[in-house]
Amino acid sequence: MRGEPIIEVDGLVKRYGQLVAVDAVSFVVNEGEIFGLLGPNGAGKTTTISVLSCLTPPTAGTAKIAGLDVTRNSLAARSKIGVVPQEIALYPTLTARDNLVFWGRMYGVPERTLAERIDELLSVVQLAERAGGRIDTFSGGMKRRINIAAGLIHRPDVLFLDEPTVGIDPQTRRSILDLVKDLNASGLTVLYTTHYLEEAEFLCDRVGIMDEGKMLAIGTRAELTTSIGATTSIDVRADGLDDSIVDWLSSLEQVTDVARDGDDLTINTTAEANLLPVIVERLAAGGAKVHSVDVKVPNLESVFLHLTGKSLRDEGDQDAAATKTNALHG
Amino acid sequence: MKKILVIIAHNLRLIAADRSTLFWLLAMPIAFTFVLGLAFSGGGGGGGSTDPVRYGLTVANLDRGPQGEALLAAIEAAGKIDLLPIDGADAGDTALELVQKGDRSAALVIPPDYSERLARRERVTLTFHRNPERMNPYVTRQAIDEVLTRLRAEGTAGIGARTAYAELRGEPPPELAERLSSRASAYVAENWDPPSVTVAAERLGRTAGSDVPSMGFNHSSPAMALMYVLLNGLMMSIALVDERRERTLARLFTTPVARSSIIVANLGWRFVIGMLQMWILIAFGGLALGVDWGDSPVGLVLVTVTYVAAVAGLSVLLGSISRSSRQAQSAALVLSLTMCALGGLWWPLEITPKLYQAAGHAVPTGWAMDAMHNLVSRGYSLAGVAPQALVLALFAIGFTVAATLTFRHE
Ligand SMILES: Nc1ncnc2c1ncn2[C@@H]1O[C@H](COP(=O)(O)OP(=O)(O)OP(=O)(O)O)[C@@H](O)[C@H]1O
Ligand SMILES: [Mg+2]
Repeated sequence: MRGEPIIEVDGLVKRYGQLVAVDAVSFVVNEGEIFGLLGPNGAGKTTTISVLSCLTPPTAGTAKIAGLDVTRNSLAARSKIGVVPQEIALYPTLTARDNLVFWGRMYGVPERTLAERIDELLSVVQLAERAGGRIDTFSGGMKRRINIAAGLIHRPDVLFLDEPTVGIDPQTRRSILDLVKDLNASGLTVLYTTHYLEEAEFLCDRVGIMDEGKMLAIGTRAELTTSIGATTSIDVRADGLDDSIVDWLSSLEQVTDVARDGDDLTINTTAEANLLPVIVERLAAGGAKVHSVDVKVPNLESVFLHLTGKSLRDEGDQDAAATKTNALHG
Repeated sequence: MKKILVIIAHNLRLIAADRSTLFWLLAMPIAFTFVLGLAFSGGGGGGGSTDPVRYGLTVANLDRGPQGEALLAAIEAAGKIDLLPIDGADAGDTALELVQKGDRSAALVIPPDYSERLARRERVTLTFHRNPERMNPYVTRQAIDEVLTRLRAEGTAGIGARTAYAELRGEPPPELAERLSSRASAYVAENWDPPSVTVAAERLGRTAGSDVPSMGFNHSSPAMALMYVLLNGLMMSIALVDERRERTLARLFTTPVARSSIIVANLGWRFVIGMLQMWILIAFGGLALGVDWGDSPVGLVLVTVTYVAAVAGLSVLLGSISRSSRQAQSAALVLSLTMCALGGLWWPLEITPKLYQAAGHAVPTGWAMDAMHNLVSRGYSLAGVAPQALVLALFAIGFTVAATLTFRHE
């Protein structure tokens, strides 16, 4: 935790008739953090952001931005935040620059600094040379980047990004994620919603996991995986294994479980990083010949599965998510 | 306040960038002002013919003597009426039938014993059939009355001359008596100048011309201005639906601009466009079509301001409650065309039945058109349009309150 709390949500409830879209959600985001709201479709992420950006009044509970209550002190709270909505919210017949001019004026950016700031933002989102182009002539990714720029025009303290990478190619996606990291590095607090766990893992200092309106768990990735007792599993395939190695591994403190099936060895551990070199060294010393080592680190997927009993990736999303993992880490 | 102006300017710019705007805002209303103006130009009105209007009158003369012919000749000579005689024994029934069927607006039937009774100085009744839905009978009836009054005056003058002679000199011989009375009658006929007090048909306040609707460009120019301000105004409700669909309205609600300011700005830019359109059309009517917009510029401003405010309020209301731009568009068309028809923009309310006139005053257009007629055709002062302006202001307030209550960003 880097700084003071800047977003405080306490017992937030939002009902639409019978439907409880957000169900008693509480969390705090500290200054300088990237906080992720991770959850599947309909989890209540957008609804939470809507309440925080003063678009929807909460049914119950409170939400504060920089100490300002979003219902009672709405106008002041709004000037602190930049909102990047899930859908593109720009005037299609106006140019990128004219859109930014309009939004800048709505945020009360002084005229004398407005042009300068727009130039700066356009180069940050790498669209300086398209400043005079109409939004309806832009590609999806370009629109998304202007959509982000519009939320930054007044130099907000907090930026809300609601699934900013949905439906765009891996390259643009990568550039948006890098942009968010850069903005955060320069001091901006970010509340980022996504249903891609890779994005949450890549970007976020802390993550809140939501499902069906409820906040199920909050923490860093390590905290979350530890909290559910998830372990890293190391699969080793090697010639010349014997039971002495199994006995040795079982005696180690960090190892929770060992199993051998012929040439295959499966080790569950709470601290894979220190253990792997030790295991490989011991195997070599015992004359075994290692063919392959496969490490399965527990991720937010396991956490989500553990908490809800269902997978975060729904059928159609599986492939997309897999390629995105490559794009992120490759 | 500054942000309200920025939003207004922003929307004016979006509207101005649309190429079809000028066509709908100005070209269409001007074209229809001409068409409707020419269609209704039987009557007076700027740009219309300056010849006195003539009305047709169906006549069935059943009189066996000469007086019937004389009466018709006198009516024709008065110069306001074209006689449409019907001949034959059953001419009286035919005339009645024609009026009943609505083929003729009025008919005069002279009874067979007309001359005889006049000779015997008995009371005699002429039958005047009229179609209650037409204006013409009022005029023709008045013209007949005028002629009858004169003929009666001529007769009375003849009797008067003979009576006077008898009192002064004793009973005249029949030949002299005849000369005395025809001389006196001729004197009256030559010097007949009955309207020593004239009631001018125009610009004399509430009673003047109240039955005779304004015609020509005096009707079409204000009517088409009101119609197209309404039509375009309601069509601009679509912009609000679009802003919701494009999510820009939701984004606006996340900026530090108060909801009330956003609503005021939405009313504001629609008001500005409506006023611009209205006054360009008024200027065009005045300069190019010779429409005299009356003696009360303040009254005209008041009427246009309240009317355009009502239209702007209704436009925002419609945009707020419509679910799609298609829905807003159809509602705008249906609403504005209905209000035009009801409000007497296409035909004067004065020629419609009572129930229709009442319906016309359930919508702003009826009141606005009333006010326009009062200014343009009747030359009323500010006080003469204040009631209409007040009603229009109430419409504006009602629509604005409803729009404020239903205004939403999603
Ligand atoms: N205006 C609304 N009226 C009624 N129900 C709504 C409204 N907005 C959201 N909901 C419902 O609230 C629930 C939460 O929706 P929300 O948009 O917050 O989910 P989300 O986590 O953002 O999902 P996604 O990943 O699909 O964007 C859903 O069941 C949705 O149908
Ligand atoms: Mg969402």
